[in-house]
Amino acid sequence: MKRYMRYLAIFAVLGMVLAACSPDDGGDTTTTEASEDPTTTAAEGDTTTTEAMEDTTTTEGEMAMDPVVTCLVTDLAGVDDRSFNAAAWQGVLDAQAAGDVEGEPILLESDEQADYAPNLDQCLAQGAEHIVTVGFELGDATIQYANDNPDVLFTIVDFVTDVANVRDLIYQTDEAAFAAGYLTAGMTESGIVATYGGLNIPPVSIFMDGWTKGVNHYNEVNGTEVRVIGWDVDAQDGVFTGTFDPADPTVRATCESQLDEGADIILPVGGAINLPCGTAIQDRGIDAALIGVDQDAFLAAPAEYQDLWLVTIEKGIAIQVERSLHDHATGMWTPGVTVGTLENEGVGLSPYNAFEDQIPDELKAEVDQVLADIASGALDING
Amino acid sequence: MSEQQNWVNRATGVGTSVARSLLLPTLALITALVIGAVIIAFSDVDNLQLLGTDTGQALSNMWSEVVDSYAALFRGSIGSVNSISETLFAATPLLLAGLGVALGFQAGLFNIGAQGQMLMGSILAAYVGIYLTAPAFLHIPLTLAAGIIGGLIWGGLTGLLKARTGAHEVITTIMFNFIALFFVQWILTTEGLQDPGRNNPVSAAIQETAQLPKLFGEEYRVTIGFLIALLAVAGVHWLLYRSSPGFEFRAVGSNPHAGSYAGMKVALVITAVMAIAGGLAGAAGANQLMGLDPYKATPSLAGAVGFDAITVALLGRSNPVGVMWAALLFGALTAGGREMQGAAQVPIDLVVVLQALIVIFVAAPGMIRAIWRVKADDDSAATQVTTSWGA
Repeated sequence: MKRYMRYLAIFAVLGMVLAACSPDDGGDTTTTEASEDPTTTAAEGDTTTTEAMEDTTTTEGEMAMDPVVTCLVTDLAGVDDRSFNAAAWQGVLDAQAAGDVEGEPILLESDEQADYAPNLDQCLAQGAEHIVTVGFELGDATIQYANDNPDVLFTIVDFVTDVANVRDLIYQTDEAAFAAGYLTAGMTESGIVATYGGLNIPPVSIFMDGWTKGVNHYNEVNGTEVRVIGWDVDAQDGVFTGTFDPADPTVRATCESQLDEGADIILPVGGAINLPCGTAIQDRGIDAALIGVDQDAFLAAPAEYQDLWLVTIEKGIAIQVERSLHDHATGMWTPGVTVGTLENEGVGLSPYNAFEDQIPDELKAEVDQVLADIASGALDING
Repeated sequence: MSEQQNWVNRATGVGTSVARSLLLPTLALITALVIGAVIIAFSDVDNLQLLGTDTGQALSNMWSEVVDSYAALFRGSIGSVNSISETLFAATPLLLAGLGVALGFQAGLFNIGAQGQMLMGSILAAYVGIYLTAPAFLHIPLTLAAGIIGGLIWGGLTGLLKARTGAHEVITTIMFNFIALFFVQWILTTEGLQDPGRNNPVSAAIQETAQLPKLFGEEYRVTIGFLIALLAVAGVHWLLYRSSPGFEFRAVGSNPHAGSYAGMKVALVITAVMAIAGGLAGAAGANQLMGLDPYKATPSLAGAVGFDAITVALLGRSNPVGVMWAALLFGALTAGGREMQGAAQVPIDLVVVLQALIVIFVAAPGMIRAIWRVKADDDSAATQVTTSWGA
């Protein structure tokens, strides 16, 4: 978002200059008017973010136990990504509400890669006893700071550090994605479904991989030929926008090209990069649906998109972050890898929400069976 | 000076003295801080609700919040050795890339491509930093040189396109940013550059001999990269105001037709300016690779520096010394903003608002003059059609 605003600002400045260049330019007035536009645009964009962030900070509540000074560092998507950063912060707030957090938790957003280390330093400077780092991209910095600060406990989302004072939260997301893929294949009318991701990194591709396998499984079971665009299971590669920034024009263009190919259900993986796709579908006025990731998109995404979410492949980030802080506060904390699975409810499918009535009951039952079979080990999703 | 060029120069601040170029930005900063205070005061929902029931308490809450926030802002930017280190650390890439953009402005060129030039520089620097084995006193300059060359080529190409075909540099540099980004995303996944065991685009760490030494000792982040940036300020200043190529750059910037008529090779000047500007941005890219743990190149290495550099150049009125002050200011806002976020829980976005406000006020000096009742330059009255821009 921010980067796109910068492009806007540049064009706005250029606009001022070029407007001023016109030969019969009136001078002062023209310039002032031209400069009003970028002013308001930039200011509005920023204020919205500020307000959105204010909403999430709630009042403190202290109880027994030994509350922990907590600091959370986001990755580049920021805390208002309506996805895993937001979920992790929610986990911190939930822990605060439960009395596990000392005072107000500290939130530090990263604007660029060069912010990771300074933000972690800032956490330490504020006396943080537990630092939550959100995302694969913070992996290197987390390893380094965890090694340098053995007295501080860390929780990292989506990365395995193998450091003695870090709890690594990772998710067997492909299990839930598999079931979502099965559902997708059962719901498509065009017989073409698509997916795209932000970057080809494990926490993203695991969604696309599991989902594609789920579609293929439906084809095998039902003898259909639903086609997946955007992910190749054998090559482990597919369609990526190269950015998690929903305002980047590449994102919408990627979605549009998949719609052009006839896809009527799309799984965009990577924070809010599903929203431009929702806008594209609405602008076209076509009957297409989206699959959400991380947090139930029906609740997390803006209300105008509510009709679009077939289902969300959920990761239990908030609950596990909260649990990690709770364990720290109660002296029960252990390091190591925590894998969220269907069985331990670390991953799962959201309610069908707007699609509750549109999905045939038989299909719902089949999806439930698939979920149960994966959880029990009866169905091997990689088989 | 043609009417059109006159306007461009006013916008980019070309041709203003350092003393003049500092007055309005300073007033703009103060004005922005005042508006920022209002935003801090009114962005707390609890206080707004309290305003209706207990106005006095609400106002005193708001006041203490503003004081806390700005105290944190100053503490985090200049309050301790570590704060100063953070400020200089954040200012370094902005200064290098900002100089490149300013140099373009001086020659009448809008270089929006610092982002891509930084990325290309960092990739070339990564190869030298990873594969060359040399003692530090050779390895560091050579890695930096590779970064400069990477940016130089990337910037020079857009200059060449403009000189040969007339393709506008605004368009080509933005497009080259995208090309660079996707190129880097690809090449960072190729064997030999990619960090072994990773499958996302990230390079291996450069060797220790290519890492920039710390300036104030190991515990502080700022590196000698800041000194290199200061050298670049002196170098660009000399180039622009003391050398004959620099005179040609500015002459072509003032009026390409007159420059051409006077026997200057305009095409060559354009290419050279874009190449040097790219080289400076490339140095900024190399600095981000060589000066920041874990010393790995990634597609997000340039962050927003390439874009902020444009703001810095505008704020510094395209004067190398002005750019230095602007970069330091932005560095201070970044470092202080982090403290503000951590200690006072004011979102870092406020810093972006402050930066935007400062730039708006600098770009609309009429407004600042009206607020602060500062008179316009006397000497400019003769040539100026309006009172805007000519800070």
